[in-house]
Amino acid sequence: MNFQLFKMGARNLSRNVRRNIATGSALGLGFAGLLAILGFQNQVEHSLRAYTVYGNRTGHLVVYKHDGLDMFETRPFEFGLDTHDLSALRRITATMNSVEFEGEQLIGPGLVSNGCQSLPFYAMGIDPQLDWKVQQHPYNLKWNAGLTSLDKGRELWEYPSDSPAISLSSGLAGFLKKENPRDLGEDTGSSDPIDCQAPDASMKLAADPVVQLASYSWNGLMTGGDAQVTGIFHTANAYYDSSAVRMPISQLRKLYGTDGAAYYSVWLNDPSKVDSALAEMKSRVKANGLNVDVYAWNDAALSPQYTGMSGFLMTLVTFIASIIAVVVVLSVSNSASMTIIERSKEIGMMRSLGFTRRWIRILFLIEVACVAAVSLVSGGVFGSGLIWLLNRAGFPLDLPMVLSGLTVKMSVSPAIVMNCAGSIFVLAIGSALFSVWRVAKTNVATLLTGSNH
Amino acid sequence: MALPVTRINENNEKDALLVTATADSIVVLSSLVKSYRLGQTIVPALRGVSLELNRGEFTAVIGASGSGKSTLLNMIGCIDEPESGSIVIDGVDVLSLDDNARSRLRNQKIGFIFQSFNLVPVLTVAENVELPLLINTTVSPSERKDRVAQALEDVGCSKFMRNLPDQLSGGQRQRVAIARALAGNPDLVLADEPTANLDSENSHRIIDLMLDLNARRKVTFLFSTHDEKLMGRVSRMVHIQDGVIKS
Repeated sequence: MNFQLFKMGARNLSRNVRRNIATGSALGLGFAGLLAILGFQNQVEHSLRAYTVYGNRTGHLVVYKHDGLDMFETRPFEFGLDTHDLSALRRITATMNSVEFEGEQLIGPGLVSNGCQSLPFYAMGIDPQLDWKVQQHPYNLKWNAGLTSLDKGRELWEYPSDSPAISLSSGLAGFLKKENPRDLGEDTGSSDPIDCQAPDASMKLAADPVVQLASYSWNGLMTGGDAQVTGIFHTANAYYDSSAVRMPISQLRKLYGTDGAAYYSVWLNDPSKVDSALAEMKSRVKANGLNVDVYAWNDAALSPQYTGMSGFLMTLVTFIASIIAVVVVLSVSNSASMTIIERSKEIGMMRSLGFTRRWIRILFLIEVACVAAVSLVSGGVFGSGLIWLLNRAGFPLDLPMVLSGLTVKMSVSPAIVMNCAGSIFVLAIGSALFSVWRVAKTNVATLLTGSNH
Repeated sequence: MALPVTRINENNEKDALLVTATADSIVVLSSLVKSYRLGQTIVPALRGVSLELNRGEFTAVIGASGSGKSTLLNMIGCIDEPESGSIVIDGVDVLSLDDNARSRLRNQKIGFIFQSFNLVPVLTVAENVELPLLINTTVSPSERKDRVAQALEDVGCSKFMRNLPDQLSGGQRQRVAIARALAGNPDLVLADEPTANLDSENSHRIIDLMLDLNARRKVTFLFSTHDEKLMGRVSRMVHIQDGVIKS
């Protein structure tokens, strides 16, 4: 394309500076707005993903006994994975190149007592060394940093896998007055029973890190044992924060009197290949004759909190992005229409000199492209500054059923910048093209009279 | 000598001889009919106009306002279409061409001069003159420069080549517009009331310039005017009245 025509398009911008500034502002602010909203979505989406896959120890793929997802909690003996299933699953995943690490987990309810008060708990048992790999995974540390470390105490993986260490969720620890975890081996003081009515009962309870666990085994027998609180954590979910307990899977297995597991989790090297790994896993378990169901981490049945939040966010982002798109389209088409009306004689003159309809469209598109390019650069700078400020300001983000303490954060990736810029650019060009299409088809003699409008 | 003129019909086939023209003919109009709709009223602009212009002629179309002068020039300039009749420019049946081919024809064979100059305000004088050459792929960048310089020299505006149009007087602007019309080396230059926005002295200068270019470049000029003082300066006059050529 001839450089002179570019020069002409660029110079034409000086003919109505105010209008071009108004159009450019709409484009720039639209771009900045898109960056902010998509940056927010990106941050939340990655945080939710990291929390679900790593923070919540779900894994990218989860294997349950057939119908176990719905039935395990009520009938664990029947719908839990037995040792035969687990052996077969270990053999299968050992030969899958896509697997980074894997392992079984056990979950279940029970009662936890401080000697004076008993409360229901919901426990997660995981091999501590596997938990270390999961929690220290770079993706988890990047996107789920607020939930990767304990509030107090030591991690389970710092102790042998058969130790009596447990971590309590902060709400449960508060109810039980066990908010001062102790390292295993430390002196835990007197083991005499505490007089719960005594005025110093609370102090004594707080000084004693030992709790008593009670539950029914998978066989239906009443079981129990002592454990020492070595850590306090908080979950992302307010509901679970008053009942969640984490312990080594060996300890939970003792409590439930089983060698089985609730499910088997698989973490992948490349999370973008979940679908192919899921298909491979399904095919392998079928070939091995296992009566199990395999789920991807983002299956609505497995992760309703993730899919619900993600879906809501997508709807919100789509709505806001649509408003931005409408503003961009109206601004550009309005500006282009006014410019075209003002310059219809000039367009007629150029057509009479031999410029084809296509050339006229190109000339106007060059002008819009120049406005869009300048606007995108300025909007990008403005948007980056705005996002930086908002991230630093730490505005609280209150979501239903999610613990407070979250702040509004935005994380903009190069892909988001490119996609937003591309979308705004295409919208601007499309809107201008729509406006110039009609005038380019208008009879040249009519254009020369300046009365095409 | 009679030249065969053909047109492409709806079946994409060449029709039989439509009109004949002599080798000297650059424009052959045959039975042009054109009308405009003004609300509910249909106003006839051309009523069966036939006209032949020879190469190198300097012709004025004269007539009262609304007589059909501009419509006639628009038809010859391929920027408007008649309801019926035929238009042949340099042996080409214009009405058989698509829009792109007509644009190419205008670019390479016809130059336009407008009453209100129609220069692009953000382009310098040289850039305005270069405008029609930018889309002519047969002209190289170096030839473009030469043609612009020659055209500006021909109209006596070389010293203004880096000026913007609003830094020039009306007469100078019209000279630049003439240079632009000539830069493409057209066979035919159409000028719609080129002196209407100029004072008497500048009007005569513009006509003198056009006559000079007509003589030196052998370009056919057809211009419309209703200025009776200019009529004595032209070799041929076409009188148009109520959409009909009277003489």
